[in-house]
Amino acid sequence: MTDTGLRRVCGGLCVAGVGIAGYLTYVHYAGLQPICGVSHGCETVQTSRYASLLGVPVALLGLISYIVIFVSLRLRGDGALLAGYALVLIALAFSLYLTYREVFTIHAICSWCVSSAIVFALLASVETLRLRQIGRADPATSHATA
Amino acid sequence: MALREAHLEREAQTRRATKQRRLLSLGGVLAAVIAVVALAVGISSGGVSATAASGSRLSGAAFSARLFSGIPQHGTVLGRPHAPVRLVEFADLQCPYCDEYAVQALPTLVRDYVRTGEASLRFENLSFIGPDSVAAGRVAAATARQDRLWNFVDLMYLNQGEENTGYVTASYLRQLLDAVPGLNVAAALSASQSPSADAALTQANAYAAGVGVAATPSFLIGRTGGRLQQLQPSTLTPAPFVQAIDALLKRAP
Repeated sequence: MTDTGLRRVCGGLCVAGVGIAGYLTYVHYAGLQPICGVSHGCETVQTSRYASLLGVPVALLGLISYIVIFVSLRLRGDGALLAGYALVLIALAFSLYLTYREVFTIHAICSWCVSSAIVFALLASVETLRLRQIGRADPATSHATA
Repeated sequence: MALREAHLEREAQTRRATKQRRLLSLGGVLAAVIAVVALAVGISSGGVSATAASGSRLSGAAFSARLFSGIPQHGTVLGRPHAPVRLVEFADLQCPYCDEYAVQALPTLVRDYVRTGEASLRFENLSFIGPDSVAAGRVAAATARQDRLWNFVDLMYLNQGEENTGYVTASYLRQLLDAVPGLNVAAALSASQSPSADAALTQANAYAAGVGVAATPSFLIGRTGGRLQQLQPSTLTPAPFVQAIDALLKRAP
């Protein structure tokens, strides 16, 4: 797949991520209970100590991350690609840490949070493919050096 | 010929330099990722300050004692029973947002409205987060029987630990109870093991379910004797509560 194709896939994943994180941010600020499906743990997770970082809800941090990653896809150059990749890896690592906390500390699973972790994992995979493709390309012809 | 060889050599050098630059950039990215994630995880898991929950000495005992000193308590209610406005809080003793409310908003409300007799506060204990919530909830119910619930609950929030880490031990509870003015600690510990403590928790859960409360902290507010309505504060600072109480105080009984 071409870099344009991979960027489109990333764009689609970002849109899905914005939907998930946007919903969780909305229910947080509206004081509503998230619709949780079969897991029934969303409320417990959302009211836990781990639901915010320095007072900022992690759902909002996720939303901002998805938006910044999406913007990085629209930009050209090594810098944008690396910055986007770094953010995806940070978000994925932090999502995995939060999933660990859900399972082993809070003892509740929030299906929305797990979905977001999956989206970040997919984003990391596709971004890695993009990096590999650009790494293989001739520096003289690669857009990344432009 | 020599010119072509020199050109090829320059191209090869450029390629090597670009590859090296990319590897360095990637290395930098990975180092930055590790640093940011380590910081975020450190903040997230280490956000508990040194309190009784972390084995240090009790925090806020004097402040809490002063806050509630001289204010009447009747079971789960703080303040004059016939105060014109009543505010009901549904909370879990392990819930960090309830802690935020207790630390940021409660002292102002107690000082400006409860102490003056304009509002009464009622605490409904929903112990749903885990075993530590239940252990603390039972003791809270026991302190309510001696009309000291608000002192205990406040100390619990001022010394809140990390959720479900087993920090609500017998010695932790004892440390809190010892700091509650006028409390018969032995009687409270005994009552916390009685079926009535469990019944109090069950009753609070049933009440919450009956009024459609599913998250903590949740609030009901209204004029005493009238219908209570859900209050959804925009922040857990005094402002939205002050606004709601003032609006109710202005309304004719």
